[in-house]
Amino acid sequence: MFRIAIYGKGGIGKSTTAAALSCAFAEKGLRVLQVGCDPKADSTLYLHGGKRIPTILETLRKKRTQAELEDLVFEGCKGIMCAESGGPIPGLGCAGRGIAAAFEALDERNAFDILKPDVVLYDVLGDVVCGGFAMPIREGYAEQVYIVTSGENMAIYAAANIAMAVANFKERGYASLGGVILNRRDVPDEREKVETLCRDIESEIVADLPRDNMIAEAEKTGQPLMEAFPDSAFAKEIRRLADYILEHAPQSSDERGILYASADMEGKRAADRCDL
Amino acid sequence: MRDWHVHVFTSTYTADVSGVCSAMYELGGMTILHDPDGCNSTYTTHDEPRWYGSKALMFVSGLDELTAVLGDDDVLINDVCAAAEDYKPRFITLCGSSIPHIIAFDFKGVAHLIEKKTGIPVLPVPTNGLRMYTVGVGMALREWIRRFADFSLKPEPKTINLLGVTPIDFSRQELVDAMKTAFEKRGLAVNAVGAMGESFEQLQKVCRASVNVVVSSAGLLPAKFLSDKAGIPFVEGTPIGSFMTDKIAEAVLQSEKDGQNCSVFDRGKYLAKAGNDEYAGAEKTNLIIIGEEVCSLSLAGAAEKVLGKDAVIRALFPDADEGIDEEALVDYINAADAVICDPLYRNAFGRSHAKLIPLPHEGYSGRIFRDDIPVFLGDGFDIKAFIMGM
Ligand SMILES: Nc1ncnc2c1ncn2[C@@H]1O[C@H](COP(=O)(O)OP(=O)(O)O)[C@@H](O)[C@H]1O
Ligand SMILES: [Mg+2]
Repeated sequence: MFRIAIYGKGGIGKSTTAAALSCAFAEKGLRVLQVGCDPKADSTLYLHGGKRIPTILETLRKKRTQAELEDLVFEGCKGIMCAESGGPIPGLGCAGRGIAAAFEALDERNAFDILKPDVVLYDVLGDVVCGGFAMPIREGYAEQVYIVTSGENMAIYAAANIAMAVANFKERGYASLGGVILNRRDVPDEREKVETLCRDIESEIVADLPRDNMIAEAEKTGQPLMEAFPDSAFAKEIRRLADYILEHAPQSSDERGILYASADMEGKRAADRCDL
Repeated sequence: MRDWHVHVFTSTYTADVSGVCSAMYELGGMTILHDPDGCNSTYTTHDEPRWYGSKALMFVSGLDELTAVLGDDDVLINDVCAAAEDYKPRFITLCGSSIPHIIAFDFKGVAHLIEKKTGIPVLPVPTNGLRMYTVGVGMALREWIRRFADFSLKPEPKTINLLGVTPIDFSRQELVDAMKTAFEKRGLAVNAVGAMGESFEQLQKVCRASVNVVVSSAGLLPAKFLSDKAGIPFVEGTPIGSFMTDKIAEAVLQSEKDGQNCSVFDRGKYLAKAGNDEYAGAEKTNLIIIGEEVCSLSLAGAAEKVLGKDAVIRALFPDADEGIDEEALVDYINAADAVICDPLYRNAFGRSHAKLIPLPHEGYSGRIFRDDIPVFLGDGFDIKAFIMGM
């Protein structure tokens, strides 16, 4: 199993990219788990025919410790396992703590041991504004971060910030930067601008995703692009990116994951669970 | 377990953070409780009988609002490094209360940083200050074993560890010694005790045991870890009186042979259903035992031997998150002939005519009844006299 996190400015195409990547991995016969880490909870929308799945936090609020793993993770198209962390009522609560709580809920239920995914994708709200949003790149979660950006200044600015956070956290044993995914908005000198960014953050462009109206067309049908238009330019580039990510997956990441993914709820559950 | 409970007259069980401090107390480390301080003095005044008799390096970080809100982990890191420089502990344990939990403080990441700076091993134990001591003891011991145990050692026959042993459940060393003596009398060598009256070096040899005995639910996490990682099976049970000690000794030999985890009591039979959606009032019982899970269930087994197979005996124990549901507690007390419990539960008796058989528990009433705790472990404990009231 290896795990990646997709970061980038809001609206830049993280969820579109993540869902398409999940499809590409699934097409290769891999077991995929996609975890949306954005209070918007729309990461896996088009893996479920455009219908929303209940978010982890919603379910925890209703069922508390009685919530089972199958209440939190849902199978979408191509057998992709989908989860959305969800978030508080806008303007209230704490979104960052919410993501941490959603992660802990999956850990407590030994999600990774039970679901045994080959690939896990975390699709994370762009701004790493507090501890919770760094959760997916902490030890025991994603090993690599991919940043989605266009050539727009705000997107590049956000990408640079994320890269800086990743660099700052390196000493703590966090994920490393896998690369930059250019998702085109077709602004002037787009590739050059992103190349400049890459030089600054010592990374490289690992995919060049075209602006593609087929995405909007697919969304109308409620299908992921990879299924509605498998031969579109975007879909083809996504498959190349999937190959790249697999080739560059770090070795033996399992030990690191399993070592610390142990749950703190085990303390109370162990007694219930052991068939003694 | 439903998520609302009214607590009017019951106390709370000791919290997870005290559990961490308690488990690490004698192992030569420094324990940092990441918290604004204040109420944490309860650890020293109520939860830690060894506090005034021996030295240990327990520190509260003194987290303040700005440091928390700004995520300024450097304050903690620098303070811990300075303290480590002064005291040169063998290792450092980092646990936390509810505030670090709410800001998603990164225990593992900060542990790495401190370790890099000081060269001293740092154990991250991400407690949240909201759960019971059993969780804190369990998490701390598991982390300690993961880090320091010598996994190259091979198990030796008829050799056991006692896991989940802290003063929170077994107040005085005398009680721990009673357990050890009882097992040794039955030909079982006690290898390591996790962790009370035990040295760092001896606990490192934990993998020499062929079976772990979980004498309190606080020992479940490390036992499960050792079962998964080192293939050492565990037996759940507290050696209360000769009968239960015999049962545990038998189970140990069986587990040593078949490698299976087991327990010496019939959990399903003794479990007092409470606090969940299926709860529909208490059943009539001859004896209800209130207290920590493994001890209560073991005591139920021991009591049955005295009261006979037909006696209805139940154990009501706290949930690690929710404690004991007070409504169910009162119902059970009202429907019982006799209750074994901490004397602090007396105010839950109201007009009940049930007989209270006191068994003080440090994890519930702290130091109040410390001197009245009987040596309820090993062969010296006469259950019949205890229940029948001598
Ligand atoms: N390459 C692209 N071509 C055309 N539209 C795109 C492209 N990438 C994303 N979009 C559109 O942009 C919008 C925002 O994308 P989304 O993936 O939800 O962003 P994020 O998850 O980063 O907030 C979506 O409506 C999507 O259809
Ligand atoms: Mg999104």
